[in-house]
Amino acid sequence: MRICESALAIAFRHPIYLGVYVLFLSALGTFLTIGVQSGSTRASGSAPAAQQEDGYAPMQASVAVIDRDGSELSAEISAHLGETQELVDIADDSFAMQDALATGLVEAIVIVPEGYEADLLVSARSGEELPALQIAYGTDTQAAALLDTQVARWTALASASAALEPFASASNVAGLVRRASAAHADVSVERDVAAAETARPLQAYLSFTSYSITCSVVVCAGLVLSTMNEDRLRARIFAAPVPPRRLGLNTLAACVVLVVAVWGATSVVGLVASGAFASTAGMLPTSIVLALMAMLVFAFVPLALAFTFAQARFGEDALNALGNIGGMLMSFLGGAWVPLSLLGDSVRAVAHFVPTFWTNDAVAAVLGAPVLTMEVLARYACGVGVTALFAVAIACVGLALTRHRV
Amino acid sequence: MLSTFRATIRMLLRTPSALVWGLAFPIILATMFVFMFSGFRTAESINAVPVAVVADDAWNTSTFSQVMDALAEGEEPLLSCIEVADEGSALELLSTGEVDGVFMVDGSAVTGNATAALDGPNPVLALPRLVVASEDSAAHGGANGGYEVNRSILVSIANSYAQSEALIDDLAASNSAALADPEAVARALSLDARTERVSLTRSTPDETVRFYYALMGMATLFAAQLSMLAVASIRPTASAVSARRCIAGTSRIRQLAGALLGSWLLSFAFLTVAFAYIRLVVGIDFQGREALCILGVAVGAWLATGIGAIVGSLPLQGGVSAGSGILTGLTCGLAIFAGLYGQPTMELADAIARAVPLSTWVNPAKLICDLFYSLYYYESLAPYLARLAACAAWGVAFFAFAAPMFRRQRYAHL
Repeated sequence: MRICESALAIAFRHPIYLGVYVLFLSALGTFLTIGVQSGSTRASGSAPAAQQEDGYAPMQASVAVIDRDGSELSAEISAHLGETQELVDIADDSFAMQDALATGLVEAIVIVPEGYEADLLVSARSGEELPALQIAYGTDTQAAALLDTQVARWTALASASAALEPFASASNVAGLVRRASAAHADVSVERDVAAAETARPLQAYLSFTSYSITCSVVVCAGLVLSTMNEDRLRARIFAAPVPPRRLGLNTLAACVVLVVAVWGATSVVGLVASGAFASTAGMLPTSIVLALMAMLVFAFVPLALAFTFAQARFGEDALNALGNIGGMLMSFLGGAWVPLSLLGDSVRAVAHFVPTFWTNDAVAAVLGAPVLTMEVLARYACGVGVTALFAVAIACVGLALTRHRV
Repeated sequence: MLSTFRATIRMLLRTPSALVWGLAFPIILATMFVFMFSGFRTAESINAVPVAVVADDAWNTSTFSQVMDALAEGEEPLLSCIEVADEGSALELLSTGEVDGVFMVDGSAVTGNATAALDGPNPVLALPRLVVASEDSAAHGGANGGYEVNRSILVSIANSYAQSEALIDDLAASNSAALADPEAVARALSLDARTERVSLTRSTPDETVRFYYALMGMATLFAAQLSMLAVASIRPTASAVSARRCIAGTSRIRQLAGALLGSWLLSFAFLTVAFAYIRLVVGIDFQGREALCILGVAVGAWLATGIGAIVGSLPLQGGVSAGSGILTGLTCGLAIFAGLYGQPTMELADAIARAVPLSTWVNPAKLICDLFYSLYYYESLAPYLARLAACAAWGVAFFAFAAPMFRRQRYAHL
């Protein structure tokens, strides 16, 4: 027991690591959940009522309209975009427009050139080439393409109205377009089983904790194990009448205490930050427990890594660097930074050889499922099982190094 | 001072952690980003939205199928259509995430006015029906997988067709003579309405470059480890060598200046290597303003040296390890607000920057990130120069704070 206490004392003699990696990084994970929550609010645009009743809420992109025409039709374009998108007011100034696009204030800027209304009415009625509205894309090309589609569609409606009503005034054409724009298609939403809205923040947080847990455990447990492995200390310990098995078990017990403490701290922060305590409407309590258990199993992977690094005689600095870089790599390949679906095929293939992929898959299975069916539990068990096997395999490498060293 | 300068450089080059954090880490992270963004869409191109169409008789005779064909053609198609025989097969593709939506035409949805307007051999205006998945569909990459944009594009296309139909109905009710000539109606509805894509910024907007600029921000903060190590090592309690240096005939401030100069030079060199890697190996565009970028790197290294000097001067119990821990935590934390850790944090960083613009001038990681970004985006150099001046000013402020703190420390037990 004294060996276990001494091992823990080594970890607690470096409070900065516990503070930075366990608490600070966990706290930072909460910002990620805020990011996920704020990202999801983007989807709640002002859709036509009937479409919202169907369960469909379109994305609301931000757009600015630079009106150089000052006509009724150009005002109608702004009004039309303002109905479904977030209309941002920016000055008709080169720097202001660059700034709006550079800072992501708008996804696109639509420029209505001078004389647009007159040109549109004339060319639509004479069958000539229509004048084009200018559009500048922001950083999100796809969102800008959406706005582009809507602007082009508005132009098509306006030109059709002008052509079919050759004597109508611009305001009448605008009225026709306004009424026609109110129509919407029949859109229905197919909800899949993994669509638990409230689970997203917790899932994103747990995905990020693969980084903080890896850093924390590799550095803290690695520090304990590498210190205990120092030749002079080992020589003194082995001089005492303590069987090597007891020494190993006590050191292991100290490391397990550290692992559980790290896991416990990150879990509490995650549960509080994601609001899982407050609203479990979309999440089953059992699912939350299973997700946290998956993270506990994962925490033994960095412990195995720490053990292996310690056997390879890595020092404090090396553990610090390996914990950080390894943690970033593993969390990235687990899909914590960018959804794996957006990554290339080769990266997705490589991700299967990293424990975070399987852990996150297990967490996603239980948190996303409205009911824990056998199929969901089988996917969960597969993910957790593969993660555990990773821990065992890495520990075996460490044991092999130990044998080689002795 | 020159001796301290030389000794500092030698000491830092022999310190593995300095090499790891200052040199290797940015390169490893940049390499990781290469894989991370390999599957991302390129800046200028639109990713065609995959969509399934139920190609039955109703579909083949509808004008909507022609609209879809037109959208799936051209140099930069908006849609990528997959034809399937029945609704079940199409929904299966939707559930597996292979397509972002399913279009079908219900023959019974043909409306009276539209049919009357386009009577005869012309195809009928049968209303399309669209089926999409929920915005957080796991099969489509989850909440942050970008699915909502593609879904909205499909809905916009479907709506446009319904709006044409509504226009015809409106005209039929108010002025049926306007629809007397079916050919004129068809011609009016098929007028080629296009937009002209223009560029207002110095370069084409690209989501991915911002992550590399945020990486430069993080790398700069990691470079602060160098000056922290350099300053901490000349504190008399750091080691026996430091204690001997303390009683040498060189003033404390001259020793500090030498250490800071050495660590700045090495920080600058390491950051330049990271910049060169990002520019030449990764191929990130800096819009031909590489010389200004190097100047930015130099001033960034100055800022980092100032931060390291403060942390190194703090009388911390844990010594260098404690300082390293603080800087690591600070770097990881501030990098979040520069948007380094993927899309959610980038969106969070943008939201914070818009809500509290001052935060972009206070967070060194964000400041460095914006320094490069302003070169990439703005024609004018004013935003760049403002940030350059801010970096330099912060550096001066940090040195002004660190120097007296370092000088006034007393070591009574020596």
